[in-house]
Amino acid sequence: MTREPNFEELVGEDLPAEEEARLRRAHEMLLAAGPMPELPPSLEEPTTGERERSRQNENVYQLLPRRRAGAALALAAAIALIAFVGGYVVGFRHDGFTAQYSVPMHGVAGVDASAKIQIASRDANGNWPLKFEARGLPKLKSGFYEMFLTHGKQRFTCGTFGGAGAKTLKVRLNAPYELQRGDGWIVVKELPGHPVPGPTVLTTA
Amino acid sequence: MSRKEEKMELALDLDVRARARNPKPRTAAADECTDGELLERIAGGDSEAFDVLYRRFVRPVFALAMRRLGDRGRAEDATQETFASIWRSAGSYKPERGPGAPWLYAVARNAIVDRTRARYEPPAEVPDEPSNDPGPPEEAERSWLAWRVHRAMQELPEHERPLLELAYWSGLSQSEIADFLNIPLGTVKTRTRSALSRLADALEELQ
Repeated sequence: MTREPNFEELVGEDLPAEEEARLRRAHEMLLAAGPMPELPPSLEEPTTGERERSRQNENVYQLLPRRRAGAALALAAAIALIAFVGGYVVGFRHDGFTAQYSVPMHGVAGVDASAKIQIASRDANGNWPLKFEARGLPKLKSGFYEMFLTHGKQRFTCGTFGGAGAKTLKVRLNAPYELQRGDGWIVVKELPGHPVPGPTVLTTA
Repeated sequence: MSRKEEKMELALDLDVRARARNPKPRTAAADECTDGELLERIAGGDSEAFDVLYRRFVRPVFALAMRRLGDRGRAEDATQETFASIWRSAGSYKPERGPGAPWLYAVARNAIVDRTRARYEPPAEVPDEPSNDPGPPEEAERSWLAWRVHRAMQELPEHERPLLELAYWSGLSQSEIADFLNIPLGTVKTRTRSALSRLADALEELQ
């Protein structure tokens, strides 16, 4: 169960009585209201207005003179093309991932690589979506890389992936843990026939 | 390893967060409108006003739907239906009858109730003992309170809202928040008090 915040710890003890009572009311209402869930990607952007407006526009039309019909068709084709390309670009750019903060990683001694973990808001199921970008992680002939959230000597896997060599590697991972309990992140190299977990190649330490 | 070294280095990018929540620049006029004024503009087909209203209310509507329906998929549908209804029926909002937030709450509640009715529910067995669950009046009161609080939260600046969310809804202490956001403890305390004060102001306006 989530720990209830202590009002005195939050606002201090040096407030005038009237202000303290006002803030306490807000504090109690916050507790009673409960959390606001994170939005799913489908609700990040408003779409209803556009849809409804176009629906309304469908019912308002005028027949064009025949001589303009060809031009109208050409215009419609151009608009459709622009809409398609625009939709593709928007869809390509907006993948539903909104980074809240990022954590840089660097290669351990002898590994010339670096990386960045972007972390999105936690969803209602307790998952923290991650975007991992790395440069300089060599492709492995066999085996794979694995990222862990660490807490002391404990490691919690966040997913596995292959290297991209000189190219930038971009991969989506996930951490279904309380991130604030972690003390860092590492990426290790897992090779067949070798002890698991393998040697660390990237770290936040 | 020292305690300092053990801490995870987190670089909070507030600009990224702010851009993510407000990706498109808007004219100041729509941003500064009251909820009621936005509804009047939406009734006239103003899509920019709709955009502003959507960002103010989408999380409170989704939270209300989740609370009532308990299912993310159906809550998403109900949220979309709510905003479709707002677009269609904003003209029926009468400013002389009161501010916009209660009208929007009623529209959202109706969309959610419709979604609830659409679900097949097998007949329940009558329990032997009275339930301790809140009855309809208590649940309605709680939903209205949550609506106002969630709407008021949307009024907080981007650098203050996460502090209250982490303190109240993630159970983090002030020092844990400082670690998590990588900002000084003193800043956390100052911003938290400021956020609570701002929230109290906004809640008084929404009474």
